[in-house]
Amino acid sequence: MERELADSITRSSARPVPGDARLSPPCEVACPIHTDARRYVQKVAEGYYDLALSIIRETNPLPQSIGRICAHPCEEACRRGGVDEPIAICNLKRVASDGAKAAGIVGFEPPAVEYSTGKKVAIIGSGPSGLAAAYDLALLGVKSVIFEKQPEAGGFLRTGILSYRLPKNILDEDIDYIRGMGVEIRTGAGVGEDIKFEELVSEYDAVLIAVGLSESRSLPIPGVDLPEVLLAVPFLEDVNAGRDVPQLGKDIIVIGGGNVAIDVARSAKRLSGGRVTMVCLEADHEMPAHDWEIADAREEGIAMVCSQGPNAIVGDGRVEGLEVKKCESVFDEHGRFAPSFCETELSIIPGDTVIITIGQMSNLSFLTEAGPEVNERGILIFDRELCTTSRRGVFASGEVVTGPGAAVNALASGKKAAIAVARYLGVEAHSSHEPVAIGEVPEDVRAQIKQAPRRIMPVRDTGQRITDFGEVETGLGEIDGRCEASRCLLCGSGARYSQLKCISCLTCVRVCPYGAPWADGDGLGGIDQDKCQACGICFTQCPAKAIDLAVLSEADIISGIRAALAVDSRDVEFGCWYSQSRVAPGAGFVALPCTSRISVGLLVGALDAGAEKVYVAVCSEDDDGRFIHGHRQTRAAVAEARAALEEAGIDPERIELSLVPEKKCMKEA
Amino acid sequence: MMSGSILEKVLTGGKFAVTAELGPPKGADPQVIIDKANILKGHADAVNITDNQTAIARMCSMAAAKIAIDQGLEPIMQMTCRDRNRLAIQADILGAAALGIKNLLCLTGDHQSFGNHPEALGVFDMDSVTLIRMVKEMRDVPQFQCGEEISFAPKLFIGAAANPYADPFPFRAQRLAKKVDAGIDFCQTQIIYNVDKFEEFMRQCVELGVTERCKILAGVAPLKSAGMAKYMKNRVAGMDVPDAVVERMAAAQDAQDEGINVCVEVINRVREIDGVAGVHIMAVEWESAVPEIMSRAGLKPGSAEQG
Amino acid sequence: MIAAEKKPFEQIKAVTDQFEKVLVVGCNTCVAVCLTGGEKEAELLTAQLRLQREKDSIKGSVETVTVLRQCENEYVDAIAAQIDGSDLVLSMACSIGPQLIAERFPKVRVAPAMNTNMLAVVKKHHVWSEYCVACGDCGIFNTGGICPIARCAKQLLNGPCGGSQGGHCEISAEVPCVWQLIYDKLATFGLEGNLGRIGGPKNWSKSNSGGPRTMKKEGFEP
Repeated sequence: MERELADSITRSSARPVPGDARLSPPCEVACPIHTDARRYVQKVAEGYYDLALSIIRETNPLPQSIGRICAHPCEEACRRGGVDEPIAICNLKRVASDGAKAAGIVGFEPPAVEYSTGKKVAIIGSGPSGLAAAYDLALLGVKSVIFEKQPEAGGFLRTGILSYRLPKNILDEDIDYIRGMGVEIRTGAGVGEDIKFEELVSEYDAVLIAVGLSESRSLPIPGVDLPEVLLAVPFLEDVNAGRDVPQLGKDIIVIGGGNVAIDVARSAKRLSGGRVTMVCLEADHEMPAHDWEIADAREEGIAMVCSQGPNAIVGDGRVEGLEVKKCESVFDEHGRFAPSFCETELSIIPGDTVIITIGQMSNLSFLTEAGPEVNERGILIFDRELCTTSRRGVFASGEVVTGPGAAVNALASGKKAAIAVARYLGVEAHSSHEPVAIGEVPEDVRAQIKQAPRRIMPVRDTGQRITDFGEVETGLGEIDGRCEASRCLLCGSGARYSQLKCISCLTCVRVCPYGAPWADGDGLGGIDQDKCQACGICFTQCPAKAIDLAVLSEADIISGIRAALAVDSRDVEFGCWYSQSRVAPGAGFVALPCTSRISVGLLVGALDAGAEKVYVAVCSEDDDGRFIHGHRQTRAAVAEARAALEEAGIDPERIELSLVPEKKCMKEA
Repeated sequence: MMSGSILEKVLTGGKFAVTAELGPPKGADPQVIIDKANILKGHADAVNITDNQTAIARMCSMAAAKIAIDQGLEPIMQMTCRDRNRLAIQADILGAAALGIKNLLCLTGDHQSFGNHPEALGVFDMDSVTLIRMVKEMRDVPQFQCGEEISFAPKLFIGAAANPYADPFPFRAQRLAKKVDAGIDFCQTQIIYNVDKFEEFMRQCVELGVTERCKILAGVAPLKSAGMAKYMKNRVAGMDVPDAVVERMAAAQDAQDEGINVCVEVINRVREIDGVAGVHIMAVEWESAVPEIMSRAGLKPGSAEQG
Repeated sequence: MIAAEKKPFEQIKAVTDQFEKVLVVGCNTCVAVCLTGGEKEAELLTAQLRLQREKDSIKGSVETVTVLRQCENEYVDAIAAQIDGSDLVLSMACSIGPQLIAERFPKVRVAPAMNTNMLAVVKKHHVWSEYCVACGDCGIFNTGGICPIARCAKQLLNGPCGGSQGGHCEISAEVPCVWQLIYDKLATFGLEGNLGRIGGPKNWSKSNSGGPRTMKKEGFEP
């Protein structure tokens, strides 16, 4: 654990990090809306679900819905992935909202909004980007009215995504919250039909087009007009509205390999109880749908035929099958979509229904000659940075301008547009910071992180779930949820030091098990946040009190001690928030990420502050806890504190070290 | 002649010298010295009078040496650097010479933590080498350490200790050479049990030309018991007691007798080694063993041989 | 740095028990770096004293403050208000600290909480060794950059003595024989023959033995 002094002084390859630089964890950086995932995961670990939910809401207007369906790029970036498996950040959103509901602290009371600016905005479309824009505009004091042509709000979240992934009542709760902020959503109000676009332009101070991609593309192949040939969007709308689909047979072919095609296939399976086959151009490894969606579909018995292109729908007056040709490549050397086929390798896939799910386009028929303009491919002319169209006062967001993407990307687009609209209206609005990510976990540090498997989201039995549209995932639950959250490395929330107080004694350099603090000839150079695991050892050992942890300061611990003493009991227990179990149930509890964060001075100080007895929970020596080096520091601190008491003639038994009775979080999944 | 002492005459005359040791009492009674002197008289050419040995406070070497002279026994006064600064040392040297003391052994001294006054300040103003040089310049120039002239030079035969067994071993002969450069006339070695290593040491001394300028007396001592052998082996810094010797003592019927035998065997081996000019018998608190040792070894003091 | 360590609590208490308003003053330079007397340690000692005084029913209060150094007027004067408000200042600096405080604040009693031990090098975390005794006349170039005055139990300039064995000093197996180190060091440069030259005797008049010392510098004076 000790570093040779010379080694740390010459090791200058570590990236210089001043003590208080703000480096973000990669999950936050990868998230299109830069949600502070680390903070809400930490609160879930602590069991403060309402706080977790409010942190999610800082950036995310649809916490429950996104917590069901997000593409979670955060998990791809998660540094824990380099250790064992990424944190189930998306699933933990649901743990937070479910937990808050279960505790009765729903956190669903929307804030009262003062619309002091007097400005109002018309938003066309109540999908994720429109809802996000309305939410952020409301927080800026700008009122929005959303015009939604469908009878219910939510856009594609309602009409395109099925209840087995996103239950309608959950979506309703999220949307109701936004309504509760004073955002008006008019359903059954299609722009172009029920209300003219020009009226909106004249009546409102700004207009935001967020209509998404509501039309299905079709295929110009023979047989496409047969009655049992369906298009994805209308099919899904019918399914989601609970309407019958009489053309649906028992042997369905779904053309397409993306996420929408997966949903179409799984819906068809549930409705028909028959056989469903997906056919796509891409090879198995290239399929554009998410891996986990493909896995879910396969589990439900959906077959996938890859590298085949649709040539013709065959059948005499009714669909009897799909003729396909071998697709040799999908993308050209520039990565552009340019499939090439072997026209002579043909085969027939039998089936009685074909659903075409090859992509979507927007419906901009409501636009007039006054603009905004579209380009030769029918896409709105759009400035990505300013979110403006070619017509002053008319903005756009979401898939209508970005092309197909995940819902969270639509949120990001809507939030960006909200800032642009607000500024246009003369309302001060700051765009969120572009966070800078922390680096990878270095190999030698990785070896010192205790492995713990990722908690798997429980799902309903396959045979059972394909008979209905009930939610497939049942939620991690509190114990597994907190356990999963406890695996988070809390990247970048570790040691910070004050250059003013630091005396460059090199103690932190010497005691850190991960080699995070480093020094050169001028003294302490910095604390490398890539390496720091926030275990707290340097924090307790620094003789000049120059180090605090971003996730926990000494002031936090002191106020925790005071709060614990304000409780009836005269005893204080320092315990770990990961273990979820107590050594002294009657004592006032001070929860810490690890009891290795306690210094000798704080232990004796707790007695000086009025505690009769101080309990300190510690992990056993062989089955160490969350931080494998932590318990040694805890034991050393307690031994030193007891010696200090004894020396002063005070009964050393007033500080007691106790093994944690049960460590729920570190149990195998 | 430097001093005209008996020891000097024996050594410069090429005779095999025998010296022994006399420890002063922990009290002011001169009779103790008188009695010990009478035991050793006639058996040794000169006798070391120890100086607060192992940092235990005793009657001072100078006073005891004078008492010995009055009994007809030639003393070798010892002077350590632990208890006196250069002023006190120079004063004592002038005083010793005035009292008729002719031999002086210059030592650094055991650290005060070993003795019965561990809280005392250890002076160590000089070390043995600078002490030797100072004494030589007092005798030969003659001058004080500060350079001032001495009115009447102290005529002393200067000696020092040598330890063939201390570390670093390759340096020990060189260190003795350094003391010779500083001005010693003779030296006495640490107690020898490991004769092979001592032989190697002597070989190096001969090579360095030390033996031509300095008379080396081999230190020997009779063991009283296996316990004493073990103590010396494990607890006394700078001593080399081979396991075989310890085992011999443990196996012996009459330990003291065996101890004397071991001592005699060492004497008989070392007197054959080139460059060894005599033996120094350290029968600590067992002065009566000296005559027996000499008898079994067939030794007579060099001065006796001179007649 | 100057390495000092806390006196046994019994000794400290024997003094502090006699005073009502005690101010524990930490020092954030040498003693903080050797982890014995900095801000954190001052807070710990303060808590210990409070608990002990409560148990022993000693009237009064124990407060604490830490300054960057206690060997400079300005830093010590900066806490004048706290010092003037106390009956006893218990200093956790090396002995220089309490002495300076006693000088600057003649009306307040001052006590040391520490025993000042040595000028030390950090051997490794939590281990400090004496490397210098401030003899005022440094000659370590000739001994391979190793000081025999500080590190030899007998301050030999012509060592080693006969007690050197196995690389350690006769007084303890924990203490290396510095002359063995010097010999080895000079040998790496082929200079062990230099040890044939007689060194010393030392000029002790430049050390504390010559009298308490004052160092002065020429140059711009404010």
